[in-house]
Amino acid sequence: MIGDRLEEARDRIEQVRAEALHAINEAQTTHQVETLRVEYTGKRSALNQVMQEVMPALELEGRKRLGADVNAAKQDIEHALMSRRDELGALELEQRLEAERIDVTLPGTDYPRGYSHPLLQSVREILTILEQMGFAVYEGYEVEWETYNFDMLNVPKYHPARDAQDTFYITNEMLLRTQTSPAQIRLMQSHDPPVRFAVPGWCYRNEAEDATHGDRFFQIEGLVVESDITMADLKGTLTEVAHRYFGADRRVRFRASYFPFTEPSAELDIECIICRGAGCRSCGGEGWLELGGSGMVHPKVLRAGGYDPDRYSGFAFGIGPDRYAMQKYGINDLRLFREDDLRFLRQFN
Amino acid sequence: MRAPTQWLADYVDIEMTTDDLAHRLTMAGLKVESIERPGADWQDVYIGEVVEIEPHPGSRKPLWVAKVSLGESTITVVTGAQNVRRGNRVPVVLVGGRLPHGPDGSPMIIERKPMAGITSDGMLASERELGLSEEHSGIYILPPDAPVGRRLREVMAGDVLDIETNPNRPDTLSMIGIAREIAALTEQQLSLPDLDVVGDTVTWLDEESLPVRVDAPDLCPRYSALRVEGVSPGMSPLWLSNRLQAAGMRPINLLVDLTNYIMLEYGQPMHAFDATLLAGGQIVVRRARPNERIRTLDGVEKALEPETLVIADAERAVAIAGVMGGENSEIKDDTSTIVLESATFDPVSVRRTAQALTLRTESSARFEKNLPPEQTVLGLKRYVQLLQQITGLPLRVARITDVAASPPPERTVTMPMRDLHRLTGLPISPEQAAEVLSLLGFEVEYDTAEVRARVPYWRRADIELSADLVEEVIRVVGYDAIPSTLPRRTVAPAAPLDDLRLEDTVRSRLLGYGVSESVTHSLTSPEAMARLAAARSNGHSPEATVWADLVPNPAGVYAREAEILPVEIANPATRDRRVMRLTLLPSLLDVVSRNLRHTDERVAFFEIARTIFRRPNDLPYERRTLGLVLSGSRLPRTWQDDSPGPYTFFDMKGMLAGVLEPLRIAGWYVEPGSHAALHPGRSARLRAGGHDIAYFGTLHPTVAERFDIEGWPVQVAEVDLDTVLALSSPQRVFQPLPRHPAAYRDIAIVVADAVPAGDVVRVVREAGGDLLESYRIFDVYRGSPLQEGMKSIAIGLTFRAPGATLTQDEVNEVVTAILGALQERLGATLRE
Repeated sequence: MIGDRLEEARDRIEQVRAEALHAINEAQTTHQVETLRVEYTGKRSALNQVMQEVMPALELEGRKRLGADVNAAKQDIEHALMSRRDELGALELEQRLEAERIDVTLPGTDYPRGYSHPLLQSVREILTILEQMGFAVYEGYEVEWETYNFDMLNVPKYHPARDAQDTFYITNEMLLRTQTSPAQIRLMQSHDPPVRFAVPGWCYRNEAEDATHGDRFFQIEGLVVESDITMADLKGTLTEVAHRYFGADRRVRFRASYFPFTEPSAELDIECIICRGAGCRSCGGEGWLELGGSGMVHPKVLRAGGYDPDRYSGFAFGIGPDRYAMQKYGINDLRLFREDDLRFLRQFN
Repeated sequence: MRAPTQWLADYVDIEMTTDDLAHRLTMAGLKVESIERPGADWQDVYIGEVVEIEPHPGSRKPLWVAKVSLGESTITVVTGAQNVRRGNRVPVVLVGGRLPHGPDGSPMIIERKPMAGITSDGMLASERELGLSEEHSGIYILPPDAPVGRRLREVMAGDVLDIETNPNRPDTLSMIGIAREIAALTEQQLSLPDLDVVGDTVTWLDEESLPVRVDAPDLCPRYSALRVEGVSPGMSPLWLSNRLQAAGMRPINLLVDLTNYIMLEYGQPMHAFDATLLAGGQIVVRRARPNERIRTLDGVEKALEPETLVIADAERAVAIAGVMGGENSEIKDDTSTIVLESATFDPVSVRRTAQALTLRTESSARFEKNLPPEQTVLGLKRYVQLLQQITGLPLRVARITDVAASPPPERTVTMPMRDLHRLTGLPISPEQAAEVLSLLGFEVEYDTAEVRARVPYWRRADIELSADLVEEVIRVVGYDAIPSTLPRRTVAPAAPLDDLRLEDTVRSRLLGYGVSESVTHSLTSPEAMARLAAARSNGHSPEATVWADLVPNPAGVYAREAEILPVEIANPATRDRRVMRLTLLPSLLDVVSRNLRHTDERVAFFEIARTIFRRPNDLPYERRTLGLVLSGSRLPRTWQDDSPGPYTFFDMKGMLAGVLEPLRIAGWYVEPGSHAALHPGRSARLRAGGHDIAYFGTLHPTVAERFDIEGWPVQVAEVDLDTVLALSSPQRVFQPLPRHPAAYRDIAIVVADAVPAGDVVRVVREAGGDLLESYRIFDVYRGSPLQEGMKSIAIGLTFRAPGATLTQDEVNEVVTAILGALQERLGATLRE
């Protein structure tokens, strides 16, 4: 009697197991698998019912056997559930990924970006180079006293450079600086040697605008004064700046020139980016283009700054970042720098 | 300065190519800007003589048929030029020959072709066709001594160097000066004409040339004059006219050409008067009389200003000193006695006169650079020598009349060898330095310690100090010889300039926000700036513009708004650029307007530059200023968003907050503003530390229209960066990260529409106390079901206590307090 019940129970267990395994095998989604899991392994599963119904009527041995059978069936079912779930899970993931496929050739999101101005880029690049070489950056005034702009820089009264033709005057004594050099005087007056300064800023000259001139230009002044500075230091410093800015394969040359505030004076030329020194239309056949003036600080200028020219020597230079940028990128018309056309600016970022 | 190489070769041996010569001169400070090679592109161009010339029989056009002798042969040439006469010597291009400038500007090859029935064996050429000048009014008539049958190129003056001379070197405005440089560079002695050797057809008269009175000795340090009788004008010989032409001057007649030739040779301008046309037979150097006028050699009558120095005879001005001669005393075809002037004039006076008359001549260009008085007599002597050589005429020459102040003292400059070494860094010996200086014309003594150099008169204005001699030595030795080194000593590294670091911070933020950097002009006009004032009608005068309405009192530096004025240029080049700008916005708006013509996308620009404010009796205030203008579509139209909106007021406000964030400005806030350029309902100012830091808002539509900006709203801002920098506290102190969780609550309140959101959040902040960590408005709503005139504001609140996890009750208590305060102070109710 008891044995019959046990046998009957074992049949039911086997039946449930077979039914479950079949159902699991038939399941098509992980969701269905999950439903089957609840049905066959939850508290109210058929196997648990068998246990609850039959167990109380069995003696110890029977209970043990029934328990073992139920557990075996449960394990089979759980194993089947797990493997079916993994199987379907992998399939579903694959389907999902396939469904999520996109056209990666569509354009990316357009993040806003501004374009920096090539002239000021070149200013910043050159200032960075100078700072790396130990120059301290200062600023001067755009509106200056005539005496700082001319007299103290050894440009005496009645010098042609002072002429109203070339200089914008505010009053008889006040003007728009024609160069950043007044800062030389101001900095020497306020600092003891040795000094190494760079001064960026706008300068003004009364010149007609064309492809290479304007009535306003940017200049970076450099001043180095120590007890034993030579022209070799000037040459080495400006060559280093040019090589770091243009690359070491662009040749530069120093040639004699004239500026009232330096003696000896030198002009720095760079070989034309187009013809590399051979002469072409772009450089007017000369092969070389001027980058800016320089020289050993004139003794009178040192004295105006309060330095003793017998104890100290130094060099000064004026860098035209617009010319540097033009020669770096092959820009042939200065006017492009003044138009702020986005189509132009975009090219340098 | 144009220098023909064959002319230079009179004084110095040139044993190198023209290119090498140009390079040497350039490196030594005489920059050769270009090299011309006249005749290099000619083929079969000969000198011919016109032996016969007849009108073309079969042509209705005015053609001529000429028989032209080439020495051994005679050819027939048809020409349309009207200036050819029998006996003229002319350039002939044979058939098959080549010229650089045909009628269309490109090279031409001469072909044999009949002209109205007569076959031409060649072509007569103009100066332009030969590439010698722009002259094209007729055939180039050569001087009568041009050798018939020779190739024209063989008698030209050689390659021509165009040299940019330095302003301190008037001596290099002469062939001899340039030759002296070449001599020094190539270590050879200069060979100069011996002026004491004069041909024996000259009779020296024992009488003064003429009375000369210098009434203005301050403007005329020396006036030397010479009377020469028995002269005869006529064409200059070929060599002379070729040299003048190559140097850029037009041959006129021998008597005038010689003055120009000597000016080019020695750098001493000269002038020749017809002696019989000088009233009273005398010269007076004086300032112009009131209302005095003169017709100069260019045929233009000029009114003379009172300070103008003139050369006069007994009655009237006969020349403008140092600039140009007058027609009333010019050399004529029958001139037989001349008075030569060779003088020195004050450089400033000549420059002012030349400028005032806009008459810059070869002569004035030299006087402007301060010529030495020593060379006046050289010019006179050279004139007689050359005139005799060329004409062989029996000349009668009077004694030179010479009115001179005492000559400037001679100067000896000492150059310690130490200066040479420490400035150049090169171990140049005293011998070497002395050799260079001596070749340049200095009289030199030296020992191991120093070189003493007596300065030649032609370098007096230029050489004053030891450093000047150093330059002379090193530029001849060559800058290439100097090694490249870096300063050895280290200088204490300086801190980067705060102002520039601030600029960089602002710039990089804005570039990241999609705003581009612009560089606009700092000179402008009051009219251009006044365009910003919305209320201004177009006829309104800019003088009536109250600048304070457009540029808020910068950092309160002005006591009264009426003192805010732009700095004016006394001598502007154009009216458009006659003041320095007070605001960056007008030029930025122009940039935006221009760019909107070719794109709609993100036309956003900023500029960091100085605005300049007048200050009485002192240098003006230069304020570091940021201008910002946003227009066009804030994003491009893309497949993700095909209608992105324009920039809004709040884009601008957010950008400003983003820009200020790294600068750590304490307690800044925004309140409604009233700026003349802005939409009155969308105008704000940003304040901190008791100052206006910025104003910003939406551009007034009237103003936008004035800048031709249509279709897009424009957001603008101007920020006083100097004040921002002063308020910036870049010091950062680490705050420990919170260890306890935050509690979040959203509230939505209903409040009258007129209550600004700023008031709401201020009440929230104050009522929230220490536990309120942050808040954020996430919704603003008007409309149904809210009553008219009401709005709802939803705020997300974050609470946190420093040392503990907040309980629900604690949070509820604060929220209740906030709602209570909103109710009490703003009449706000919780939205149901």
